[in-house]
Amino acid sequence: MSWGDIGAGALRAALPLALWGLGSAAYAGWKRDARALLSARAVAIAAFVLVLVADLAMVGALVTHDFSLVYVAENNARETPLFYSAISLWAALAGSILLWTLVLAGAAVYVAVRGTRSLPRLATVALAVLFAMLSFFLLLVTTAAADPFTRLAADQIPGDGNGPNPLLQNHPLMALHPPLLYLGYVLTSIPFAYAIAALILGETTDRWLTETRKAALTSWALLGVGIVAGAWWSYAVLGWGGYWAWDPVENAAIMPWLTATAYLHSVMVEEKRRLLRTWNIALVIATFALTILGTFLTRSGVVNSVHSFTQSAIGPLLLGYFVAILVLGVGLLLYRLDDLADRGPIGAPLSREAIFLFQNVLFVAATLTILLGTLYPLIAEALSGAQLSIGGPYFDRVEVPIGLALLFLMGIGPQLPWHGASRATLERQFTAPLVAAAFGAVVAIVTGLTGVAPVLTYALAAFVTATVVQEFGRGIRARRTLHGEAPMAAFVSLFRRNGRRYGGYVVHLGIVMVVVAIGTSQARTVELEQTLAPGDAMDVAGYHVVLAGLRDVAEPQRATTFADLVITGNGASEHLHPGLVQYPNSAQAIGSPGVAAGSRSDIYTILTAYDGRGEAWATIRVRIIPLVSWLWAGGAVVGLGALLAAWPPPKRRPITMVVPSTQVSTVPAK
Amino acid sequence: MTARRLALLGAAVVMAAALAWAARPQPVSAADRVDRIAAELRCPVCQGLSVADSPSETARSMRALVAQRVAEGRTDDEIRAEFVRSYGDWILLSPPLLSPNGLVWLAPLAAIAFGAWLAWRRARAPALMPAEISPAERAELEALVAADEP
Amino acid sequence: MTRIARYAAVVLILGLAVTLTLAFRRDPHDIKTGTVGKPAPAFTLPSLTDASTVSLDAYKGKIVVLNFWSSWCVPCKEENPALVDAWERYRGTDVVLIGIVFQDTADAARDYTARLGNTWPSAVDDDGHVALGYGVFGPPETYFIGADGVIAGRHIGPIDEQTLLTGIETLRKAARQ
Repeated sequence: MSWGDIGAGALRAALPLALWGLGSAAYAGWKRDARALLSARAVAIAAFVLVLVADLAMVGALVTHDFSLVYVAENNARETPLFYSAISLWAALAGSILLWTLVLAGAAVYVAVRGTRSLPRLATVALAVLFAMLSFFLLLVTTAAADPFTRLAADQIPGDGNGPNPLLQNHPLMALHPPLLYLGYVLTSIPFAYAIAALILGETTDRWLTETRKAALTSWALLGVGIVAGAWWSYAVLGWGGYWAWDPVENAAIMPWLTATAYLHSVMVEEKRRLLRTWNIALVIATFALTILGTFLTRSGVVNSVHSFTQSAIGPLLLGYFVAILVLGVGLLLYRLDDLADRGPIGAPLSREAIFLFQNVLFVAATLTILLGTLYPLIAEALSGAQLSIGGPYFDRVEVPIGLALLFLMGIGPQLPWHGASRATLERQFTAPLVAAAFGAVVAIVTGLTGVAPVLTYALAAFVTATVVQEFGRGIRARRTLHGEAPMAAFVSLFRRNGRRYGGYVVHLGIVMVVVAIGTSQARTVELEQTLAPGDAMDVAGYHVVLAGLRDVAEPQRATTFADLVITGNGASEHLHPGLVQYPNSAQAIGSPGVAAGSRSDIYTILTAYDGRGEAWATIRVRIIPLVSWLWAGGAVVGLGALLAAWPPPKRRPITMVVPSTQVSTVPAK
Repeated sequence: MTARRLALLGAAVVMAAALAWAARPQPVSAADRVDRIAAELRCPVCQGLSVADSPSETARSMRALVAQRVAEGRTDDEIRAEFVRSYGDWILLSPPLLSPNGLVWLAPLAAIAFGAWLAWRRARAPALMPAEISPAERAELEALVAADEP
Repeated sequence: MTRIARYAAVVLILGLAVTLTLAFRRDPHDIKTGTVGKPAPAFTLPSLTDASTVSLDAYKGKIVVLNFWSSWCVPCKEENPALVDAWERYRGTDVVLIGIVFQDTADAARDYTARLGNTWPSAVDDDGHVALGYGVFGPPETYFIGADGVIAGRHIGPIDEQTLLTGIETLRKAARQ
């Protein structure tokens, strides 16, 4: 039995199971049939096991270089090291769809086993929705659209494969970035499935919100960290010196993240005041639909992107799936629109719920703008044949003001009470933060930033930080007064007792770090490109860069030429080795940057061209990028904050108290 | 004036001054002009990178040409037009505001204006809750009342 | 309000579906040329093989086939026989073949020319500005310039004999009229 047999067989067995699961879950939800539900649960587990077997079979085939499979022949070679062979599971289209299917099957098991215990009827219908999605993806991987186990005819099996795309085996981060993103993408299907179930059943309570809170937060956090990991990969591996290029696939990842962020905040208004219910359902549907749209854009071949896979039959199928999702979601939403409509107005403009409404508007505007920018060239060419580009300059100019406005809302939102704020409240809450904002603006000017946007960024960053510090201070003081806890213990208790709120504040701090990093690195990067002979030097922003020499390194799977640089000045002493890597099956050499990371700035070096023969020379590009390390640190802080926010509060423990009568009663403690 | 009000006023004044100072027109060097124009041109052989960012040889050649034209005294528009002549509108990373495709600049403004108007309409001072509830809510209410033990 | 929302949703979803479907018709890697139909930019470049210069003006009134190539470009080697054949056929007539070295060193280019026995004039575009003027994406690219000095057509990628001859003959017929 070969790997291909095992894998293909497992997938083909899983497909009818998924369809059976769809049927039994739908029947169980409709007729409240417990046996059908048990059957659906068993099927969910079985399907997951089968898909897991298929994924492991593919990894097995890659690791043993089984070139009888087309996928292995195209994405693996004998010289490919073990680690990169294993992670080639997600190197190309068919394998990544297989991974996606695995996560989706996992989500179905989670809802089938955990979900049905808490909210039986809702979870059962949600399970049916998930089975329908799983069936679609299993259809993709068992047909010519994306079957990873397609075989080569016996006489066409090559002795050696092509090897993975050079960009994908340059860095171990490839092990992390795609799985994180896929987990983020696919887990958005859980809130979506529950939302659809709630709409179908005409659910009037908001229990599904609480039920899916963990899934929503987890998918949001994984998406966010996955995006930051992708930016880091672009920075450290692609070697052009930047971390974000508004590439269609980057846009495809950030759009659902933006709507998911809006959703996470907006649900608080529904929990507190049962308002914005239409917004919340719409945001959940939009988030999930955007994950599918993003997948479609990057896998159908209709846009030119760093991640573009070649055109295949999967394009029209994904488009059809996307339209079906939209029609289902929007159709059901319109059907129930009257039931979902808000009863009563939002509240005063300066109230927390109004701020959440404004942030919904801004996040959606930001998302729609990115969508328009990504699709407009497509649409223009499809309609009129004209070819135009929409890139960095457009997105930057439009998104920066929206981002700054959101930063402002991030500062005032948590400080405003529900229903509205009095003048006295406003003064009490915002005096210190506004002073901090002024201080931030002065810091910006003093460090040499020019332009309104960078100064505003610093001012708003200081503003938000001050509000967070204020909140923590108040919380600690309150706990010390009420419970007599020491400051450190009080600090920890804040997270334990109200992880959602204070974890959220930590997330906000992480976002502030990211925003400051982006603003500073964009405004104050210094760059110089020069051609040097060995022994020559160049000076950039106080750094003295000497080209020590050129050096060739040959490995089984690639040949690299390194430029050895010695950098001094500004108290630094670094040896960096930017290089150009040549893989045998690629015409273009891949750049590999030499980066010295620092807390204040990074020294980023690129070898753009060289000639090692005779009178050797090398063209070196040096970029001094300030505060870019804060981007990665900020991303980690956001992840930490999300973890804290998801931390379950301690269980209420009953206490026994003596009541001045004959009875002793147990009362739950707060 | 309380100390708080004073602090608020001071902060507002400092902010305004800082923003005014930041917004003052900066002298633009030739190198800045080259960078700015290069940032708006698309590198023909890369995946959407600008000519300023791309390390490819074509991009370097383009940067050198831009620098030469800037030194010759051409305007930004003339330099961009030269590249559009060779590569088509596609070479510009964002459509000029005054071209037919300049509509993409209006779309975000329109979206925000529309959304803000919608939101502002809904944000009013809290009124009393309306007396009528939907039949579904009434049924739920009665069930809850019935389920309560006295 | 609900009715408007319903209609708006239907229109938007349909519109999105239709335009995305239309998007399948295009190939994102096929970038239309900018210079076809415009006068060919003049150039004067140092010759690859000797100390003279190669200038487009010198061939005024003739049909010029301009081929951008490099020694490191694999498809350029593939198309070379077609170029050799065409040169043999049209040498001395009103058609001239000019090669322009693209992003390469003069030494490597000379090596390549000598090794393959290419005899048509080649020029070195050191700073790449001529290639930029023509809108070249990468080698090999071939431009057909008519007797009137206007770029009549462009071929991206290795050119075959059929396309070369068709292009040249079309231009010769147009010149005679």
